[in-house]
Amino acid sequence: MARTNTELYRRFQGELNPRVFRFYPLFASEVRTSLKKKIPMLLLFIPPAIATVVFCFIIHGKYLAEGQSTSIGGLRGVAAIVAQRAMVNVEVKQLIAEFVNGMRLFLFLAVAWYGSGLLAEDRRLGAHLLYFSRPITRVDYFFGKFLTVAFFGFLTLTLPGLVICFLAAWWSPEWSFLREEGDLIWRTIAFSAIWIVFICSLVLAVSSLVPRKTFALIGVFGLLAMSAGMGEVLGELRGELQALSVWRCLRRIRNWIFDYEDWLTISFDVDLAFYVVGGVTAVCVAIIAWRLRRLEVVA
Amino acid sequence: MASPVIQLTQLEKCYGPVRALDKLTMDIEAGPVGLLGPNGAGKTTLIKLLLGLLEPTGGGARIAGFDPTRRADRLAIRRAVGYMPENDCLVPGMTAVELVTTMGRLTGMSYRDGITRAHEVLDYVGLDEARYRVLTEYSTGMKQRLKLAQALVHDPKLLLLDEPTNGLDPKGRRHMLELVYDLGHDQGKSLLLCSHLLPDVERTCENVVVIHRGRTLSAGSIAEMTRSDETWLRVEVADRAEGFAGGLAEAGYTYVKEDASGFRVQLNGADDGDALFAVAARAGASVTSLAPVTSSLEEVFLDALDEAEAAG
Repeated sequence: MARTNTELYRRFQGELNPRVFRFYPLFASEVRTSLKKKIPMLLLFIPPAIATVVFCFIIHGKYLAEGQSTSIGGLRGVAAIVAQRAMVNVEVKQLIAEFVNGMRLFLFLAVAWYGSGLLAEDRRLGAHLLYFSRPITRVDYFFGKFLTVAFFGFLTLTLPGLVICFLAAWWSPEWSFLREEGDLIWRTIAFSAIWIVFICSLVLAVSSLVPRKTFALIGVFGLLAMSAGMGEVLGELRGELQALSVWRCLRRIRNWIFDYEDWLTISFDVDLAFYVVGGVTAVCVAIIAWRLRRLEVVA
Repeated sequence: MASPVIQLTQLEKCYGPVRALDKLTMDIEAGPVGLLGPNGAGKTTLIKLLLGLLEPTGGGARIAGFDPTRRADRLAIRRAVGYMPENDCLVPGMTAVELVTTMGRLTGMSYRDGITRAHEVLDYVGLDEARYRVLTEYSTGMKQRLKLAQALVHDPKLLLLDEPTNGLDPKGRRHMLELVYDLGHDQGKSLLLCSHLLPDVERTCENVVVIHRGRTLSAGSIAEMTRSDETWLRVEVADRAEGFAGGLAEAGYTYVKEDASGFRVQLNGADDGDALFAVAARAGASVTSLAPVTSSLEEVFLDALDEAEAAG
């Protein structure tokens, strides 16, 4: 046969080593690819970063006020005393609970944006054919995808929360934050873990069911809006039915974790909130498992 | 003799009432082998079963020494085999280097090995200048070459190529066939080339397996299958073709007139063809060409299908 290709085929001289964490290359490659788009990154991560800086300043101000007796920021007299009292009265626990509550929105937006296409677009474009012809299992594939969205959730909620906690510990006089309120670190981790696992499972489950990223985005927003609507309307009839709103369940869990006095009346027990959130997460994971099996077989 | 790279024993796969593979039994030796069959013959099902992407309904298979029905072997198979899918399978937002590197790393390469290897195979398939472009900007030919590159990244001994020339223009097709030929003949790879384009298989493979409705219709070397039928000759004559035709009839030959000066003639018994020169001389015609009639792979394939249809 006449030949025109001039490049030589080179043998691979290295070794193929089966990994313990076979999902890692998939996770790394998905994160790298997702971060190529700059505008979503700016829109989704700059506000949490700004909020983190603002809250850090407030906490810094609190500990500064606690450490000073008569002046703050160059103010003298009555104004200084009022400002100092105000700063001293700031409760770090309350502040962090408010912070993580506010960051939920960005967590949700980031996970929905980056996660909604992960399974849907793979299937639409046939990328799963390539993945499943490699030595990875469905579990590896799931972890590769799940950790990708969880990573973005971590960046918007867990990391800022932990930064605030660590700076609070650093600025507090004689590490008083760690001694008196050190459990806030674990509470922040627990709260963000519940949120991340729930939202990531939901987004991936919807993504596995629809053929396009846009449909998955609409589906996730639609499901949560429907759940919230049902919870609000039926909750008027009977208090426990508020638990149909997953959003409200997560709020109830937040109040419980941070021991937080919420202005909003929530008329159901935290156990019910955990059952609802856990149940929905379990259903989502079951859907993902079923769809991944089909994805591999259909491949 | 080396052991077969693929062994199928009574392999059966049913999708509900549809029997995609019907107790398929065959051994596929090392080297380039074509897998031919009409749509729905069971080619893709066979590849999926070999990669462990489907569970067989019955029977067994071994590929590269591993059993695809065993979970532990399945991963070993995917490490030993390179698969080039038929359909587009691009990962959105990636460049060719990133895609091939990721595939290498998923197969067990270190990052450094993966990226080095990605550049090597992209060079080999001729994607050297386009390797940093995002895949959505690739033409069909480039996508096909990229799919071949990702199948080669871990340097597998066995390649499963599903319609590698699908959608390619003549130049792209020629390039792809050259690569496949090189891999099968010069690089010593075993490859199973699924194609419905018979000339592609004829150009790149030495052996072929024809399947239809999940059964093997024929298998063997292409040279053997298309070997000349020595009882028929193709004769070209100059001048007085009509007289030559009359002479053939008079001498009792069975013949078919193919065009103005060409005939296909069946020899009688131990006749070696010299008598045709005498017939031509008597008719005042001169023989300009005399050659045994050979069957193309396409004819063999179609004959096999016709026989299978006739047999029900």
